[in-house]
Amino acid sequence: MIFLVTGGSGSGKSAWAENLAVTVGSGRRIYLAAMKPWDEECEKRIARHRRMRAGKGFETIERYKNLKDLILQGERCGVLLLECMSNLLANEMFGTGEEDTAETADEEEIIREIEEGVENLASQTDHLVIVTNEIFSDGIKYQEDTLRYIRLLGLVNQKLGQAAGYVAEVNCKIPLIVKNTGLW
Amino acid sequence: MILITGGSWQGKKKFAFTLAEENRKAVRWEDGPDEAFSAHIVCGFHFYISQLLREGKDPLVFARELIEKNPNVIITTDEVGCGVVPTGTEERVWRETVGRISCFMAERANEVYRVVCGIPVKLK
Repeated sequence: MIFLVTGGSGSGKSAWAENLAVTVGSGRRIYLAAMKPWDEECEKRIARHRRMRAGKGFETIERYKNLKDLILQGERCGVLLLECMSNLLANEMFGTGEEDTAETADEEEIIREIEEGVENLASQTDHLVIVTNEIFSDGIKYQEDTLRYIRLLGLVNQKLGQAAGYVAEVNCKIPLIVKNTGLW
Repeated sequence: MILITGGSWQGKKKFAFTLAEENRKAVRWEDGPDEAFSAHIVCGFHFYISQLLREGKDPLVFARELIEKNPNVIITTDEVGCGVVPTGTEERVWRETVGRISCFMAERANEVYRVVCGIPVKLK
């Protein structure tokens, strides 16, 4: 089953999603990190997340884009935690700065890429927990690139919300359950 | 009247269509402001507010008239208040007015929903 966890910056959604992943999944746990360590600030954030999930039994895989071709080696995965969709989308849209990852312009292609990536992951694990981001309610008129990013993340979140059996919006570390099909 | 709020790009209009009866007429500001008085669904009320303010009209008067003339309307509007206070007066007034009018309409609505990730949550 797919679990979707959303929330604003600093809402505690990551910690809550980790605990959710530990609770729902038995067996092998994989943490799929989509954030590329661009600079020192990213490194610090990554280090904080590593400390946070230390002792929770996650293997860490770093994958910044193109999830549809990811094949997990070894034992079947019990739960995979993907953190997070906002980074993955940015990487798919704007590239990761490496030669082989040019910007992708076509919006449908970007969304399809992400959908296929999620389907691919979901097929290789009993449970998939996806962390995404709430960036839709500040009323600010950004420049076109940013508006496009916001729009695409909104559309991706809608698709994920539909595919998920369980959706929680976290605020102050407290989850508001917006969807629960009762399968878990 | 039903009010549907939520962030941008969350699937509010799509949800509005699931609530409306068949042959529903959905309008937005560009269709002409008066069309709202006879439509089943009025989309993007936050945009109506920005346009009315720009024309020097009181959006609250418009909102009140809309609810009186069209008491079964479904209205969608964006949540726009979760950012830093804008430094520009126009933006600042608009942002607060959207919030206040959403409260006004929610008080008078039979049902209020907030949509997130395409999923409606009933608030009222």
